[in-house]
Order: sequence, then C-alpha cells, then structure tokens
Amino acid sequence: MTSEQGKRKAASRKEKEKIKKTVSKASQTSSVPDIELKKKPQTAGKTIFLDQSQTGASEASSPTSSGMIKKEGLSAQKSSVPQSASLENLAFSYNQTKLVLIVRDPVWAYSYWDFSGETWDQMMMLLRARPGVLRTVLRVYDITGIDWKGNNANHYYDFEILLDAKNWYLQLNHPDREWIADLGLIDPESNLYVIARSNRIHTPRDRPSTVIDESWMTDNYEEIYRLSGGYNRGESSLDVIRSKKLRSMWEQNISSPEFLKRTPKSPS
Amino acid sequence: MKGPMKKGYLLLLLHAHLPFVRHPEYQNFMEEDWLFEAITETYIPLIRMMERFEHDRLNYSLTMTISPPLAAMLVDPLLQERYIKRLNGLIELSGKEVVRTKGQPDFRALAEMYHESYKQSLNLYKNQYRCNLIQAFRKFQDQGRLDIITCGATHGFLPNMETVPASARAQIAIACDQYERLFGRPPSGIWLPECGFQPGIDRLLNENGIKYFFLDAHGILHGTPRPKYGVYAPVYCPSGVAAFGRDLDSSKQVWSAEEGYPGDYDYREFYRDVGFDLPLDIVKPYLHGEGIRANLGIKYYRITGKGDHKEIYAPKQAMTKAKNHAHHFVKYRERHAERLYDCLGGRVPVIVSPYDAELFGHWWYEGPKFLEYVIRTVAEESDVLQLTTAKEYLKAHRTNQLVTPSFSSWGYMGYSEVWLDGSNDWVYRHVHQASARMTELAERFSHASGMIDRILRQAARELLLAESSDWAFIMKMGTTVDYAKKRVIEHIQNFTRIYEGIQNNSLDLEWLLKIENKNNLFSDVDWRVYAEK
Repeated sequence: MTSEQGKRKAASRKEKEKIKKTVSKASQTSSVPDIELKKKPQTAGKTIFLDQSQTGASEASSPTSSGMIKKEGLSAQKSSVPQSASLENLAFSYNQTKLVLIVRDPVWAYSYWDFSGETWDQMMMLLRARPGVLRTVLRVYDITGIDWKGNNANHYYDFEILLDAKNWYLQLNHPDREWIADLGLIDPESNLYVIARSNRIHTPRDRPSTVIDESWMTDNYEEIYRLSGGYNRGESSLDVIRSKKLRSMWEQNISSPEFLKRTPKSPS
Repeated sequence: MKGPMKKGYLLLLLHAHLPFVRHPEYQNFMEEDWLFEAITETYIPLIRMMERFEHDRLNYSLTMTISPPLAAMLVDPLLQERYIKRLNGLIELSGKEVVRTKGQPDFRALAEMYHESYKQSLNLYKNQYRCNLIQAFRKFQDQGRLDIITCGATHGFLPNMETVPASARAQIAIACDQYERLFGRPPSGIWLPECGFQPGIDRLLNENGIKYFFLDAHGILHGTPRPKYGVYAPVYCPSGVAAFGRDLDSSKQVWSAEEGYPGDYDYREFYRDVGFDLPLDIVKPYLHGEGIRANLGIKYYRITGKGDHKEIYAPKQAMTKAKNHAHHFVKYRERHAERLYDCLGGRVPVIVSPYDAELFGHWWYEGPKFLEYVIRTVAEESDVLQLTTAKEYLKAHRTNQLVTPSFSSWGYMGYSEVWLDGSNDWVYRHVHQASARMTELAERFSHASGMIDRILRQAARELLLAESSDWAFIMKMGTTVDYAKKRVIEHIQNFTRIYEGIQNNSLDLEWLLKIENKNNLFSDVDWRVYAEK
C-alpha cells in the first residue's frame, strides 16, 4: 500500500466513524477512496438469497403485498428522512423488500431500500444467531456489457452501510459503466446473504465518446467541442445563475402562515 | 428558408413554467402570486411584444414552452378571477400613488407609467383575450410565427423515474393530450423538464408523436458516436426524434454575474418595492392576510450601484441600455456564427439560446424589451443570422447525424444532483411507490367507468403533482421549503388515501370532491397510460 492509499484508508475509516455517529442524518454517503483495493472478482464466498424471489437477474422484486406496516413493528429502525413532524405522516415502510438505485452523475449513485416484515424477521434471526459477526453491505457489481445471470459480474465493490439509514450515496467513481447491487449480510467466511437485489443502472459518460461514425468524421472536433463550450461547462452552467434569480424571486414570497400552521393529518 | 444564404440560425427559446399553485381553500394565497406576477411582468409583456410584431408584419421566429401546469393555471376560472382582483388592486394602488407623489414629478411620472400599464394589462387580459392567455399564444402560433412546445405534464424530472417507466410515459402522454386540447393540434416539440434526459426517453417522445427536443450541451457533446457539428446541428436519436443542443455562451452573456446584462446600473432595482418601502397603512390593503410585507410590483428605483444608495428609475435611459445590450448580444452571436460557419465546413450552424421565460420581465424588468430588440435586429438588420424554430430548421435540413445523446440536465453540474441530494432524496421512495400503485390500479381496473374512473383520475392527478421537479428544487435551494415539503406530502397522502380506499372499498366522497375541486388540472386525464400490460 502506498502512503497515499494509507492516508486515504485512514480518512475513509474516520469518515465511516463519523457516519456512524450521525446515524440520524438525512442521508448517508459512502465515499470509498480505497475503492481499487476492494475491487474483487466475483468468485470468493457464496451468495445466499434470503428470499428466493430476489434472484431475478435484472429487476428488483416487487411483492404484491401492499399494506403499510405499523411503526412499532420496525422499532429497531430509524427513518432516514428529516425528522420533521409533517414527514412522519408518510408511511415509514411500505412492507416491501426492495433496493433501488438511481443515477446521480457520472460517479455517484443513490440507493434506497425497504423491507417487508417477513424479510425483517429473517434478518433479525440471522443477526441474533451470529451476534456481532455479520456486516451489512451494499455489494455493487460492475456488469458493463454483460448479460447478467446473477453471478457473472466483471467485479464488485462492497460498501459497508448502516441498515437503519434506509438510503446511501455510492461513489462508484467510474463513468459510463453499468451496475447492479445487492443489499446483504456478510459473514466472516465471506458468504453473502442477499436481502434485496436492485435495478440495473448506467452511469453517464463525462467526456466525448471514442466512437466515431466514418461518414460523419471531422478533423477539427476539438475546436468544435471548444466552441460548443465543452471545456467550460461547469462555469457557465445556467443553473448556478438561474437558481440565484429564482431564489430572489421566491424568497420574497414566504409561505402563507395560515397554510403552514396546518399540519396534514394522517389518512388513517 | 427565404432570402440570401445566412451564416447561422438563431433559435430563441423561452421556457415558461410555474408549478401548479392553486388554493381555493383560502381567500388569498401567497404562492399564487408567483402566477400573478409572472402574468403581469412576463406573459403580458411578451404578448404585447408579439402584437407589435404582428402590427409591423415582422418576419420572426420564436419558440416557447408553455408547461402543462402553467397552461392549466392560465385557463382556470378561479385563478383568472383572482388575477383580475389582483390587477384591480394594483390599478387602485398605482392611482393612489399618482396622487400621493403630486409634488415629486419624477416619482409621479413613474406612478403614472405603472397605472397606465396596469390598465392596459387589464384591458388586454379581460377584454381582448377574455381572461384566457392561451388564446393569445395560440393566435401567434396559428400565424406561423411562434412555435409552442410542451413539457412534462407536471415538470417531473424524468431521469429519476428510471425504475417507474410508467410515470415517465405518463408525464409525456398527458402533456401531449392537454396540448392538443388547448392548441388544437398535437405538439411537435418538447422541452424536457430541467432538460433531463437519459437514453431511452427519446422513445417515449417518439411514441407520442414528438419530433424534436432540447438538451444541454454535454447531452449532445458526449453522445455516441461523436457528433460531428458539436451542439450546432441537431442529431437524430435512435428513435428518429431530433435533439438540439444548448449554446452555453448565449446564456452566459445574458445571465453571468460578471458579464450579464441585468445587473446594469440603469436597470430597475428589483429589491426596492413599495410593498416594503411605503408605510404599512398605504400598502396593507394590497398585501396578504395580516399585512405581511411582500413585493407588489411598483418599484421606483434603479440599481444605481453596489451600495444601498439608489437613484430614481429613468425608463428612457433603461430602454436605451436594453437596445444597446440587444445589439451587443446580436453582434456576439453573429461573430460566433461566422467562426462556426468556417469551422463546420459550410454547414450553417444553429445557435440554440434557451431561457427561463419568467426571468424576462419579472426579474429583469427590461428583459422583454431586450428580447424585442434582439428579435427585431436579427429579423430586420442582420446579414449573418436568421431566426428559426426547430420545425423550420428540420424542414430545411433533413439530413442529420444519428447519435445517442448522453444522460444530462441543465442543472448545476449537469446531471441529477439538484433534484437528488440530502435535502430532497426522501421524496423518491414515496413517489416511486405511488407510481407502482398507480400502475397496479390502472391494470386492475382497465375497463373501469363511472365512479372508479373518476377516482382513478384523481389518483393520477395527485401522483403527477407529487412528481413536480419544483418541490425538490425548492428544497435544494432552501427557499420556501416548508411549502414544497407540504405539497409532496399532501399529494402522496391524497394518493395513498385513494389507493387504500379502493382496496377497502370505502372512500369518503365528500373528501374526494374537495380534492377534485382543489387539484383540478387535467380534467380528463387518461390514467390508463400507467398500465404496463
């Protein structure tokens, strides 16, 4: 390990400790500076599914059960949403086991998850059976260009997460790649107990394509790219300026107090 | 295209959009002012501008989005009635101001200017267009000058709907449906909400008959294969829909903090408004409820300089500035076009300059005048540039490169982080759940009619309203956050209550009537579009 990597790893550890201390924060991030160290071929350990319906190769499962479960049923969990009175009026869980990935930009993805009561009980059983041993992870598979069968990823990264957070930001670091993730528990023998499998995503490209159409070739693409603003995209992003204007437009209009005093009631 | 060969096309595009803000449950509601201010300060001035063009028989081309929620508000009788009330209030207040400023000729001249302008606005709104501004815009479109394009049904940010494709599909289909009802023809173009695109969205556009849309520069520049002409020629997506790329310099020149025009010292100062400046007893009758200070629109000062000292506004001086700025803007676009023309090997570049419409007039008081000068200068004087619309351009240039554009938006940093960060990410699990449930209902009740049909229409409206990108944007910007949160929560709760009511076969019809009356856009919304099978 180079000293740079060592520093990064230490920073990462600190970051993780910090995250643990701020469990109630709105959302969690996993920035993984030592990502290359964790990159693994998909061979070590077994993959065991808690719920057989989760083995689907490309889609998150969506059980048909649709009722909400009561908060006391999942008292061990904390909501990841900001703790404001009104947000508590939304369902804490939809009683479905699922893991969803959303692309944020070329290097980051966002994930959120939810459990059915049944899945939760199974997880608790596992955790109680081997107390203090199992780690909760998001295993993110790079499946670029692959017909995904569930076990044939190019490689994967493990992001250690806090189950309670219910959502996590994943720094994938690689634009223009395809990904799928498992939420699971890992035992010391490297077996992964999969709780939920995500949808497939594609992180966007952050630079010009290397693919060139022969009938549409030009010898001065760089100049055209420059004239198109390709190099100063960030600084001239409309939104920075636009948001300032909108801010002034809207900050004048503080919400009607009558409306704010009213807190919507739960439908039940 | 008529006339001599020019070296570049200028495609000016105004994106007019406001979230659906309508609160019949209150006598007056502050957020409705977003609409009223935009009507007075932006939409009416733009209509007046096009009327002058019509009068002068000017040969111009302009593109404008009228987003579906904005269109729904513009044709809503309650909001129309409230707008007239608001405008009458301003006529009354400015009339009183004329009297109050008797001994101050400069102020009095301004008070008279506002008074006159409000009276003209009322005449245009009430008598000329019978309170329906959609008719005004439609007239200019039917004359072949204005190309009105649509937008997502409630301005939902489509890339975040990847796992709920029915929602993305519905955003497009319901928008097209509303457009056809209002404008008497299907839309040929669309402004994707926040320019948010990911490969595949073009297929949804194609399914709905859309021929072209617009992307931020990197959406085109990072497309595959490499686009030969950069952002200066449209590309065809695999679905056959054309994508035009945004010219970044055009926006920078107008809005940049350092080089932008609106900060000129001769322009009107936004922050000095009689709503804040005058004694409360004078303005109170025109403010909301308990007399909370707010902008009313009558402003007497110009920017003057960086400090607090402000000089009185001089309209003539400001208009001269707007004209100069317009000439400056056109000159730079001409230079850019000439450089591009050489660089592109003879292909005539198209420079796409899109702006939020509300920034012209509302924020930048002289903005509509600037725009008028730009359009007149290009249409009447320029030897280099020709105004165009996407429709006209594609008619003249049918051969374009086949490229799959890249995931992109026009938000900060160019992707999704404005609408997906710690301040607003909690929204998605609920909106996605509601979307999946809407699909479930649409499939289960595909043959429904009568009451179930009515209930499902409201369910779709609530889901659509929860999906507006505006709520996530406001949460991120930290402006009226409580309002934005409440809106998402309210619509998700309404949806959930309907969903559970259907499951339990019990729904409070009085309550349903109440929310139908409140969240009343898309009266004939086709919820079947949510079915996957």
